[in-house]
Amino acid sequence: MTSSGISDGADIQITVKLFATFRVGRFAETTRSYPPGTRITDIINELRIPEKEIGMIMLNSRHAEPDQELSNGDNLALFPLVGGG
Amino acid sequence: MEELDVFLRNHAEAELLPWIAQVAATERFGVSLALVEDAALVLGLLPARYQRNRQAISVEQQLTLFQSRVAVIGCGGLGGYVIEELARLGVGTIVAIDPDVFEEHNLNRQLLSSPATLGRAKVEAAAARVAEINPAITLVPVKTAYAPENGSELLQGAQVIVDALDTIQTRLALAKTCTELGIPMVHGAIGGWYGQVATQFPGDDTVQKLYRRWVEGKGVEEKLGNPSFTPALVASIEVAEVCKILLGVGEPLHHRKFSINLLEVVFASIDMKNGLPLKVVQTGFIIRPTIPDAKEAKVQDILETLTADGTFQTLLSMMKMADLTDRLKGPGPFTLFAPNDDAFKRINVEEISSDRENLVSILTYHIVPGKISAAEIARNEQLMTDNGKSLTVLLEEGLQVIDNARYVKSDIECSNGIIHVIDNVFLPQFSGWYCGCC
Repeated sequence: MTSSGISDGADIQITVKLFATFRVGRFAETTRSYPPGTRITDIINELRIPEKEIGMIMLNSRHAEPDQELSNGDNLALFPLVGGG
Repeated sequence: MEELDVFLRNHAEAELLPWIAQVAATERFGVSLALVEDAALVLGLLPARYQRNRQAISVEQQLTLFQSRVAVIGCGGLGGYVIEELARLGVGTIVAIDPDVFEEHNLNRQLLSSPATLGRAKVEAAAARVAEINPAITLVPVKTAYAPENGSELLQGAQVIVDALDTIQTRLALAKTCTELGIPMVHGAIGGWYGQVATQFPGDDTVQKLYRRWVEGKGVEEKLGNPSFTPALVASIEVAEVCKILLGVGEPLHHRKFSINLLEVVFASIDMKNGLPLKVVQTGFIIRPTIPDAKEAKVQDILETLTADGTFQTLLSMMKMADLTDRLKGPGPFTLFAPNDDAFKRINVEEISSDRENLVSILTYHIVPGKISAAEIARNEQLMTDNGKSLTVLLEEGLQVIDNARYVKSDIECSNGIIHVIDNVFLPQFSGWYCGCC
């Protein structure tokens, strides 16, 4: 869990779902508490996923950007780039 | 060519034209195998080689395939299988585009490669293979790299473009060319145990969305390589997409990404349409449950409504068996797809009710959280049910179809939700995907 130490609101629950290689050494799906104001990029950094490996970010089944702030109950899904042929 | 027609009719057996007669016709009339195949199909005679297509593809559809032109960009891991399957399917003209020759590191997966073809142009190997397996098919070998500059010239006239490329940058360029030319593109990509397929129709930006975070370089394939089975699988799904597009049947992966994880066997169909525009910081669910207000409180709940109607006896008795009756009078709000008694006549009620767990799974597959009107349903492609599996929403001949059912009556307002009466029973084992995304 990340903590800025300055939040005064209640923690928010975020479900994170990882796809393909992102699961290796991490998890497939987990729900964790984060301080209010947490952004997608904070979670990506916490998981040590290099941003350039990410192909697509979905938040509640919609495309999202890393700087987006999360709300309680959000579902986040991260997909790696797949480009071989 | 009346004489040819007579010849073909005389040599057909039960509307199947044997290969030997097809060859004999070319010799007798001095025409190509392709011309003979076209003439036979026009007469409603099926070349016997396609007889096992027949349950899935009619003679008329086989003619459509034969008169189609499909361009395959890349003749490596994906492209080799794509070309093989298109040729066996009976797609009349295949344009194969690739600048490369076979190298040793191709041998673990590329169908057209062998020790004998090392150093040989991939498109030449493709032409030789197609001539061997289905000589009535024309393969146009183009030993050139696709680029935005030559795209229009290379791809013009194709009904579908198949992406069998191996770089993201070229894919993005190809997607743009396809959009400019107004041609559907079937995208496929692989890396290790993973793969993805999506179909982009002109005007969509699916491929751009798939790679919207891409800056440079390769994807997971750089570290994981490509084993033999992933390209074969992804290529097969791509060819099924091509077939559906050419024939105008089924539901292509339109606005969807089909994501494949063979290591853990997770297949997910992900909605690609709901892209938020860039730089928007607001979050939102597609569907927000409507909280019943005081005015609606006098309205009957779902259980009362079903009971009063009288045509839901089977559903009600099954709900009781599954101990779900309380759910129907619970606060909700939820949406119930209610099969009426006629709908239950279409399935074996005894069989599905013999196992309680199975019954619960079937019944909860008819319940969707939130109060969702038919108009709201129409704006979605997937509805996540209480069962944990999603229902697919389709438009068939202008009519809304949910999974396998049509509405008998929609939008029956209740105090704790809404009922849509349907003419069939959803069976989770036959349909839907576990939502692999959020």
